[in-house]
Amino acid sequence: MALLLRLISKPKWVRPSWMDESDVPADVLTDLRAEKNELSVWRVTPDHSNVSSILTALASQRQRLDKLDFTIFDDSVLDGIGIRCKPSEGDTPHITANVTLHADLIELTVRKVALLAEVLMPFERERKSRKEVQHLLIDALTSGALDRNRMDAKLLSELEEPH
Amino acid sequence: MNDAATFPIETSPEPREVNPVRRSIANAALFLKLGAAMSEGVERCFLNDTVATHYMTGAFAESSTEFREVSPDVRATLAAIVSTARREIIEDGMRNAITERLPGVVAKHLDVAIPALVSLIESDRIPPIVVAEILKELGRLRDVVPRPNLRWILERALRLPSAFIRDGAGLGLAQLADPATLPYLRQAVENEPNPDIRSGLQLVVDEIAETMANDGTAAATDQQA
Repeated sequence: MALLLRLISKPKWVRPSWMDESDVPADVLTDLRAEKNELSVWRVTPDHSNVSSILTALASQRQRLDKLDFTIFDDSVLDGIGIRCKPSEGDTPHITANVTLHADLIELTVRKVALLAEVLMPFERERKSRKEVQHLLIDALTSGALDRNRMDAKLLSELEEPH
Repeated sequence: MNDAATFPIETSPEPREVNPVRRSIANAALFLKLGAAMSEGVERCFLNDTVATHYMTGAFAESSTEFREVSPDVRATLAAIVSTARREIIEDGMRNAITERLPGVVAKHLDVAIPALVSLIESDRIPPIVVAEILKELGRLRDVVPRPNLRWILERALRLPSAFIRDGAGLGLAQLADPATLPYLRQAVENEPNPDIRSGLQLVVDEIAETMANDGTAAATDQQA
């Protein structure tokens, strides 16, 4: 068993009052927007000790400082819906995380993405506040884990503001 | 057609220089008006302004006629921003029409933009994800918009039916980081029916409380020194 992390937006996963308890809001499909029929995920260690590095990588490729919503799920749910997960290189300013922690869910179809939304629904959704994200990024910049040249100038300037 | 070309912010009438006393009076009047809107309704209080009120809050205009000329422009600009945002993919941490254009409009036309935004937020005509983005952005404008006004708007949005909007209001309040919002936020946590939104609001409460505690510790340390 392995754990995977996917960036999401928590409120999209809230069922409206009219929706059946067994159903999933259609809005969540925007959190599972595939590119080349693939979805980016990150491999989490069983003790979750690398979650901060993953979140730092995800936050560092943004244009502005903002909260991060994510879900961590057991990759065994993928077996039942025929989705394969393949290690691949990430494209963030986090040099190490790109190489060691990134993976893609591959060969996706519309049906598989809909099934993925269903199997992800019961997993807990978590949030790192903007302030926590700010600390993660500042620490990573200080330690040299992030390639500053690959980060958005506006994000960098927000990090350099007094806090 | 490009929205920016249709509603160019840059060509909107420039605000006049306003002396600080007049601006303070205008801000106080705006806040009283926001208070009145709680009982009388936003539409009634803001969209049917009397000439006298225009004089009181008209920091940008000396006559009600001029106010009327500015107001539709600002509302049209806001509508254009919202219209562009509706067509965008709004993602956390990424730029969009709200993040790029709203701060400028609010800063330039504060007295008109805020009531117009309240009206838009509560109109139920805008997708909740766009409203949430507006609320988040408003929280970032704490150095531009008087805090009581922001507090009023954001706290009010915590009671709206959409979970997305309540979450956005919480995020706006987190940006505002105003200890005065704590009692209201704690109440919102108690009343929040959805566990995902509730945990988000609780995070905001915890952060503001922690900041207060740290500030208190810092102040005590300063006093001892």
